[in-house]
Amino acid sequence: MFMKSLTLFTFVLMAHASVASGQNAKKPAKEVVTPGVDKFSAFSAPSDTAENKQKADTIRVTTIKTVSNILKTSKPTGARKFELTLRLAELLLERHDYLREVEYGKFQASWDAWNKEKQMNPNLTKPEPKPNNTNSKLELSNGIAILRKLVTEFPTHPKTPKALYVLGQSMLLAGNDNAEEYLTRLVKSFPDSEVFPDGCLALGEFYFERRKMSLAQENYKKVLRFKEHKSFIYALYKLGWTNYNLAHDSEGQSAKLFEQSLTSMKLVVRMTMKTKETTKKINLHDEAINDLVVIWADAGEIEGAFAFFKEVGAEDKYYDMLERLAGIYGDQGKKKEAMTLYNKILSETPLRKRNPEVLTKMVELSEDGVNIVKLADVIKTMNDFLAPTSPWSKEWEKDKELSAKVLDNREKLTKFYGTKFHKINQKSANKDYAISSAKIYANYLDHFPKNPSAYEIRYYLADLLLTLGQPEASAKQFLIVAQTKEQDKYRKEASTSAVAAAELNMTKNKIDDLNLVPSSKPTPLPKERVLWKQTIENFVSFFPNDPLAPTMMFSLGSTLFRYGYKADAIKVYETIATRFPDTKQGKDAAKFVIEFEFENKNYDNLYAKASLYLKVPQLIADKPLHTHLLGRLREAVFGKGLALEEEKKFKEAGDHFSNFQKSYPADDIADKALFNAITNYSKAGFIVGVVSTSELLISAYPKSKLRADVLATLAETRENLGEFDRAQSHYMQFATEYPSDTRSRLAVVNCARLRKGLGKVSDSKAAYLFFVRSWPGDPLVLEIKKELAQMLEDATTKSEAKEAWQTYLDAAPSQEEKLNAEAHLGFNSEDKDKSKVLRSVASKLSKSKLKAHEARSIVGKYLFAAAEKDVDNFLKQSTLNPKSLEESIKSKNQVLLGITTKLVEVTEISGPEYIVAANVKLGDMHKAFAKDLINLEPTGKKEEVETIKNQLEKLSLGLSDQAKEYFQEAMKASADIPSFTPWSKTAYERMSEINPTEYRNISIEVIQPNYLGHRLKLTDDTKSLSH
Amino acid sequence: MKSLLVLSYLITGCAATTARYIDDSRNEVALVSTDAPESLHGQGIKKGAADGAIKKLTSSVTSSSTKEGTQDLSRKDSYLELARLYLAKGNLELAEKNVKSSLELDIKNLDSKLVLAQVYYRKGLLEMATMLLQGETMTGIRGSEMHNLLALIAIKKSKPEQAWANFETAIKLDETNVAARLNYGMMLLDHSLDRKAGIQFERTLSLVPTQPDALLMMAMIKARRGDLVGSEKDLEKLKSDHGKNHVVLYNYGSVLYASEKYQDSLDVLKSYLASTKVALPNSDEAISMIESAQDRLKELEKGDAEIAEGVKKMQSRPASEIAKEAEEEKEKELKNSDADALNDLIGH
Repeated sequence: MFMKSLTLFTFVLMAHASVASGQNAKKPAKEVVTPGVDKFSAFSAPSDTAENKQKADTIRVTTIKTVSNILKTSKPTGARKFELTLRLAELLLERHDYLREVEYGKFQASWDAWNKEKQMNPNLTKPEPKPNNTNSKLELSNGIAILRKLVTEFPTHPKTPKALYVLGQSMLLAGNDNAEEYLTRLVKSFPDSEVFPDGCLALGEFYFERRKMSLAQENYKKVLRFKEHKSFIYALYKLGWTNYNLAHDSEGQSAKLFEQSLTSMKLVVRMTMKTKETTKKINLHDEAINDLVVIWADAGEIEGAFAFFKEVGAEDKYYDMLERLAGIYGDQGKKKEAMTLYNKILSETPLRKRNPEVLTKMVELSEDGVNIVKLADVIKTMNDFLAPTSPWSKEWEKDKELSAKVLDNREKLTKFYGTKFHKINQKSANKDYAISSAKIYANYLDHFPKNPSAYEIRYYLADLLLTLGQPEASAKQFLIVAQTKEQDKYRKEASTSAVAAAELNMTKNKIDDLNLVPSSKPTPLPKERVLWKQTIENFVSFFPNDPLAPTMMFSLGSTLFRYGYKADAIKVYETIATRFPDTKQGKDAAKFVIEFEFENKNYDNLYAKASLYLKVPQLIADKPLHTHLLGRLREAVFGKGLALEEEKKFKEAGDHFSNFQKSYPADDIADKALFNAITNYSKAGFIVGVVSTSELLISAYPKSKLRADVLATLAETRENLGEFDRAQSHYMQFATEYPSDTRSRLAVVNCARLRKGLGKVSDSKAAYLFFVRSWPGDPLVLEIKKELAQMLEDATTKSEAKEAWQTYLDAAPSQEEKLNAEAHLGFNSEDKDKSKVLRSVASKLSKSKLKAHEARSIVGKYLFAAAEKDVDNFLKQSTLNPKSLEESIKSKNQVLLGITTKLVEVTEISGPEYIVAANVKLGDMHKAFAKDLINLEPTGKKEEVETIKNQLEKLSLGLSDQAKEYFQEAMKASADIPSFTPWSKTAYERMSEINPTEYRNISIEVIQPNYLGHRLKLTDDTKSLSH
Repeated sequence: MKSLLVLSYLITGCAATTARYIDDSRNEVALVSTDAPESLHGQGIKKGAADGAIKKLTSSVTSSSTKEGTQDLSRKDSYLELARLYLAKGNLELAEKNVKSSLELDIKNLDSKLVLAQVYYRKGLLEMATMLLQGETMTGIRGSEMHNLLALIAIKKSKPEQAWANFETAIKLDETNVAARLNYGMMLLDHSLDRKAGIQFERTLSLVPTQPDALLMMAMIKARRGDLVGSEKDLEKLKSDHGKNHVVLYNYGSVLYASEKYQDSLDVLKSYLASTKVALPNSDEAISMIESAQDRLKELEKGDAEIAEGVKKMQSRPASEIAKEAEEEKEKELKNSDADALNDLIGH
């Protein structure tokens, strides 16, 4: 208390001194005007602008020069010298004030700049600025020197008291204790002077500062004689303080001195009720009230205090006083009394501004090493009382600085005690500290959950809870720590400890579910298991590759499975299998997953997962597992494929089987998979797939037992697609590679026929002959031989054709076929043999009733061609000789008969086309003969000639009639035969000459017959065609 | 059957000529196409109708391309219909592409095989077409189309008997097969089997009354049957519609010649010879007819001169001689009339 009061005045008085001495380089304090030097500022009011002050100083400097010059040059004496010298000293002291203000201003500016820079760059090495008072000190020193000379030279001048006062004050300002001498001289030598009370006050202050309370009190009391003096109240106030200080020094009279001190302060308060202040800078009214709080508290007598404070309108000060008294009790070890007072303050003035300090004190007081746990309650009270939503906080929320400070303080306090007790517990194993610490931590987390320290504190709390046997709460706190995003210092430890705590919790609560039989419906997990699951999931999420992870996850998977959460369990196992394939758990998990999918016939999953695992080297390094996976993969493929097939999803099934082969081309059943794919593609009508997959199987699996079937099918497919060249190639490949297969014989036939169709005559021949050689006793051989012969004949390779027909002839199954073959043989023979063979066939045909169309066509064509030459000769040459008319007619008739015989033979033996042709030719010959006869001009006598002509005409008409009959026969035949022959047109032309009315000779040009029909269903798509 | 058919024509600007009709009994639209350049164009369908159908079918194929199972059937059908349309339009590449797509969805589908064979035929790949149909048995309308195709192939391969037999079968399987009847009719007429040809064209025209190729051929058969006036009238109409078609010109010229309208015949036949730069099948006959017509015209001119001379002679005779001659003629007529009257009187 004493020091506080002393400090107050030390500050008031030392402000100048410290600035003047260049010490105390902290943030520059506001200037405080020293009592008694106010007049030095007469030139300029504090509110003047810097510019005005500078102007004033300029005038001041000029005046100083002027006065100095007068004193030097005029050398005045007496009163004039005194006045001028005193004036000069005052000017210098004024100038000191001005310069000091300027110096301070500069210092303040440079300090602000430096501070700003320092805040921007904490590592700033630039030295902190210091005030430079050189100029001002110089002026002060000059002023003091002049005054010292003055009072020495003029000891009795009327204004000497004033000079002494100014000198004393200036020396005080300069820190010169000799001031006491001049001030004492003033007080003792000039008791009636105007500045006497000022001198007393200055002297009182001098002694007060130097703790010479009695001397100080003496001088203050002298001032109090001057009731009108401006420092009267101040002196009274200081008198109170001297008594207060003396009370502390004097045990015997302390009560009286405290009482005197209280009286002084009460007087100050009451006397300043109206003005409230006695100096410009110090509110003595308020100061006195505050000091009364101290004094009353120190006195320990609080009766009447409340009434006084109420009287002067400062009830709050009562509680300040109580707080101070409580503090004193606290200092004195009277904790109960102190706590009583603090509680009184809180209950009576819950919104009091200083309550945070009260609470802090309460907390500090509660740390007594006995009621350890209680401290936690006090801290809780503090935090609750000052929580942001509390009435106190609402009351002061606008005071941001205060709110922040209070928040910071209680956070630190809570944290301090929490950690302190925690440490003690760790060293001492005192459970109370653990309990208290845990409670404080919990309270801290309640109130400061977002504070950066909360993370660490929560971790400590979790640890403490585990120590205190609260595993559930511990696990939950560990989880929160682990899952804190902003920090990760304790993540690993927290995650691990969370699992451990959760397991302890299950043990504690006797969770025994290891023998639980999995049910089809999930059973809800007990809450202990839920927590445990969360801790494991947490651990794995943060430390997926930790060696503990697979064990934990496996345990989780098996637990979930036991409780019926099979899908979840499988997910866990899948993760283990893929993430930890090199561990036992990884392999067991992989197997578990596969078996699960297999047992549930989830073929898609089984396939996907088995495929996945088979790509993991660490898994397949385990040979039994590798074998198992492959086995299950097969099951998956075929199981799924067959399932799809049953659902008639053939394309999907095909894709499924095909994908298997793509993934495992070297697998034993890869070819089987492809075969199944082909089968399904075929059923799906996906021919592109059939073809490509077939080709793949054929090329990639040459030893496959399925290859023959696929190759055979592929050949047929190609043929159906019109890809004949590829088809024939496949057929021959099949026959060559699988000669003992029953399908080979037809494959060769197909190959031969396709090659024939493609115009590959020699290749086709090779295939036909291959067939004949390979299956000589096959029923198809005869047909094949005939086809080969016919092909060679069509290809006009006569010698080969002849040979082929001979081969066929040798084995011809019937007489009719023999005739046909013979005819072909003749047709393909050289001319000399051709005639012989064909005539032989003709002879046989003439005697036979067999149809033998081919033979008749060939022979007919040959015979007609042979007769046609004769016909042409017959038509070209006129053999009738008028001079030997009868002979020549008979001769020509013989020729006609001969040719007619041949042509008749043609009509009897050949096919329908040559019947028309032969009749046309017969008609032509008879018509020509008739024409010859009618045109003949016989010679001889007129009567004979006439008779001959009549006979010739008769003959001619007979021939014409015959010609007409032949043409009619030709017309009839052409209409009857089921074929088109150019002779039909010729026959018509002949008939049009004979009977132009019935057979009009009108030439017709026809359109090329090339019409095709296309029928389309009438649907929405095609309906536009009907408009 | 006949009454259920509604027939009309579609003609496009493509090399191939198409015709279509609707078979209500089967809910089908039937097209007939030919790549014979001399075939006459038809009429009666809105422009772009085929393109519209193609667009819709293409869209149908595309939209169902991702579907599976039973949807494949409709895709197959759509591809097939597209192929038929493209073939009818003469776009053989797209026809082949689409029919193969159809075939890939149903490899043993006979309709697809038949269309592919038609495509191959149009492309001149006769053996390929033959091999596709080898060993296949088709009945009904599809069988009819197959036999029509086989007949055409047989013609190209100079197998007239096979052609004949296949035409017969084609028509037997589907009496409404206009394409087969036209082909068969053309072949028969080309071989001067007028009566049989006439049956085919008449049946064709009963199904498709405005089928121009059949009308043209029927006009010629009509001429050979002696109805030159009717034939000439029909041909004149055809000529007005297809004045640059060489088949029309030749046949019209031929009928005009037969009708002894030599000058007209000569003019038309000259147009025939000038109608195209490529070799004409009957240019020799045309020239022959032209020469003959010119001769006839000369003869007629000569005959006219003789008549004129006679008139002149008569005009130069004395009036008394002419009057006497007329008197004698009158007297002769009177005698004859008197005789008739007498006969009437005496009751003979």
